[in-house]
Amino acid sequence: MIGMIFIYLIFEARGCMVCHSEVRKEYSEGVHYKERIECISCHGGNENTLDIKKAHADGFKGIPGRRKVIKVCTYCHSSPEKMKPYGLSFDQEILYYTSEHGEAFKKGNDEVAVCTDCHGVHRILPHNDPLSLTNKMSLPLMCGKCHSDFNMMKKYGISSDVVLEYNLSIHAEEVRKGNPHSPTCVGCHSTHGAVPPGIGDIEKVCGKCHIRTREYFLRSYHSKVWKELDYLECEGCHSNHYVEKTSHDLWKQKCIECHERESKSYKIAEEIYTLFITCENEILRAEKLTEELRKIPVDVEDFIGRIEEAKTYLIEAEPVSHSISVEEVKSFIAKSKSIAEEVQREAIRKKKLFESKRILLPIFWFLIFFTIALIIYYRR
Amino acid sequence: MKRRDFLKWIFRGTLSAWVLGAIGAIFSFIRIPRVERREFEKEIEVGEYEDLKIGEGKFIPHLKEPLWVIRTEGGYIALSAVCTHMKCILEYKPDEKVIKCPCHAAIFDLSGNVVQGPPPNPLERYRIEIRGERVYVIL
Amino acid sequence: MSFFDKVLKWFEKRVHLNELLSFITTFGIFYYPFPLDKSVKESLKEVTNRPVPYYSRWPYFLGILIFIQFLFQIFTGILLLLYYIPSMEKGYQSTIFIIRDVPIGYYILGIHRWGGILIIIFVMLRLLRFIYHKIYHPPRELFWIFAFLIFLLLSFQYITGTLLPMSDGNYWKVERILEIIKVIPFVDRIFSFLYGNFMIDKYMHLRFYISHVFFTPLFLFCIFYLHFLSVRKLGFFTSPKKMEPIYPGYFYDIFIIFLLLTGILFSLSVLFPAKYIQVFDPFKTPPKIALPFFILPFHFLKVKLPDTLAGVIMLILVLFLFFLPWIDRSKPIPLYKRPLVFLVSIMILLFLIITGIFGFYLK
Repeated sequence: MIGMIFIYLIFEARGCMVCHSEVRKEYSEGVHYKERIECISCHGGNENTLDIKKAHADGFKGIPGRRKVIKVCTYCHSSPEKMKPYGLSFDQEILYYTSEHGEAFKKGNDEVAVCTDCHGVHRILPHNDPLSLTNKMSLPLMCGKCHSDFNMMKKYGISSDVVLEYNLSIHAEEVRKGNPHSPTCVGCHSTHGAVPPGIGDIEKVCGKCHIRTREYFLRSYHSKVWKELDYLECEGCHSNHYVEKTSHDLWKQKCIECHERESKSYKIAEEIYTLFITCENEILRAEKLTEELRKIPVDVEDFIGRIEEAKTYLIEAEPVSHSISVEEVKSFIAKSKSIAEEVQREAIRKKKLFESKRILLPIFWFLIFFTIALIIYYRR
Repeated sequence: MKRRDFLKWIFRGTLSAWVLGAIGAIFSFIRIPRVERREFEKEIEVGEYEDLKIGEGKFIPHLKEPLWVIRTEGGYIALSAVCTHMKCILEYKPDEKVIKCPCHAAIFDLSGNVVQGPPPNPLERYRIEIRGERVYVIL
Repeated sequence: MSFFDKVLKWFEKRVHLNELLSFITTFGIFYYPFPLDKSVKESLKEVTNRPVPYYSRWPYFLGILIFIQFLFQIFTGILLLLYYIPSMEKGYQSTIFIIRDVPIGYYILGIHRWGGILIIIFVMLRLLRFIYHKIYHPPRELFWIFAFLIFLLLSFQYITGTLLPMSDGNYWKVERILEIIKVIPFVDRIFSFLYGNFMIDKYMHLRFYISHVFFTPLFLFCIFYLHFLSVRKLGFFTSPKKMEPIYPGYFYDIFIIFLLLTGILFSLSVLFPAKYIQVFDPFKTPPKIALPFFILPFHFLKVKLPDTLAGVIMLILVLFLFFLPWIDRSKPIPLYKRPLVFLVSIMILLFLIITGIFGFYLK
């Protein structure tokens, strides 16, 4: 007893912690401990006594359990008065019930994710804490706890490879590099109201970041027809979770899936493909020549700037190509290509000018031998 | 004897041509070439302070780092003109007071922060020095 | 009396011009003691009309060739000094500026670089000739000492000069050479005292620069002067039979040598230009480092043998060559008539060549 009081005084722990010391460490790291949210806020009971019976009276709830946990959390987290000082939103409950998780929960499914599955139980950290489960870096891992579980996902008929696929994607790569704009799971599926974006919404979701691409895509014939045909907009060519860094080969690989090889539409795809490839080659050639000249060294400051300009036009043409209009793509590619070709021409001219200095050698030797012959002849 | 004289003159002429050629070559080397080169420079001269009106921007094509020098109400600012996303060359829009990327519609504000779009990092900002009436960018 | 003569006379009354000319002629261009008691014009006429042995023929002209080449290096070096900025950061930039933007800077730098390589080859040939004919037979031991010192100093000039452009390849070349110097006992102490602790930093760079442009050339110049003085005192070991007046014969011969040398250097600098591709990066070793040929045997020894052993071998080799006149006591006749010396020198030569070749192909 004296020992318990001693612990009570020394560690300044709440009454609950004297007995439930196993959660003390976990709880004291969480954000709720730092904000002085006591055990009783969730579990009920009386914390000011060390008598076990008295402590577990006064509306003691025990472990809330999966069904009740949402009520426990939303008691505070749906209350605007309580959340406002922290600057937190209070619509999580409403959002949650719109999500696939919430829908299933309403139907009585206990397996589905509730608050504690994503945020942790006692050790709840804000999402910007690097140790938090909901931190950007660990988010795919956290979702993958369930969504990579083959047996669990089989019941709902969902693929269990989504996290794996995401981790291979360009988005995941950018996240690992530290790009704050690159999306993780929640970037597209939203947080509490997690749903897969439906057909017709995909271009909106992707267009959040890929603004220009969406703009030009909406101009295209595809955007009108695909909605009627229930065809997956962006996902159709770029896949959903496994979004690779796009190469121009996609024009050859993807268009053939719907269009005949001899059809007019496929011809357009091929035309755009050749436009891109030839332009890229021209720029590469210009870069190679410039690098050769730089090593000599010849002044290439001007060339490097212009190649950068050509590259800008090429990259600009990439979103434009989503309108599937050869004329529009051509107008950008033509600019890029003409700059690259001009740089090449000038680089070759400079190189030839430099190499022409070698003509000096025979002239110089001729002069030397002429003088020597003259000296020998003169002295004789 | 005449042939001998002729030879003598040729001989002297050749020798003096050598000497003159060498002197000319060395003089051309000694004279400091007037080459405007920004590659290795640590500062760039923008121009007179009053050259730009408030809200106007000037593009400076520089090898390592093309720049936008913009005059605002508070004075001059210099921002990198290379998008941090895919290295596209940025455009300054005087009407909207933003810097836009033509490639992926990214928008930067005049502090270089990303307002919209995919760029991972804000634009690099350079120090401006005003000496007398002239404006310099320090790289 | 022409205007030129009047000016000459004016100066002659006030300055002892003969002394000045005799100082210049000490350096062997006109190898003849200068008469001091006559007027300048008369004594010049006398000197230039005196027949001297025909030294502008193989292999007698090696010495004068080295001196001409040395003057060439000093001249181009002074020109390069006009643009080079001695600092770690700006060294590369100014080198590129010289090559790219200064008119004929490309050739001046090329000639200076190739001249440095050629002069070492000439000195080596001269040392071989010394051994072959045993020119260092007493009382001419100093000839050898001077020649060998010139070789050592020129090699050091090569190393210090290599660092100055601060390009990637050159930086790592010097780094490798420093590793070799580090294992040689005593030499490493002297080196680290003078140049810092075997790490290329700004102080070492600055000291290399000062060494390259001032101290080593100064020492070389002193040695050349002493060498010419001792040649004057002792005379040549072997003399060509044919005699020739200094002017025009000897003078034009030297002019022809000079022209040919210019042509060769010019062609080399155009056909095999130095490549300063990028600025040095102390954290990234390039895959291939091309060391100069006279370092290769030492590089091989350093890599293949334990450090101390390699260092001792190098030191013994250098000391052995330095004290050669006192070690080799054979008669002053051509090498093939002295079997023991012949065998030893051939063995050393083969050893250097073979280790050099192995050093070249070392990963």
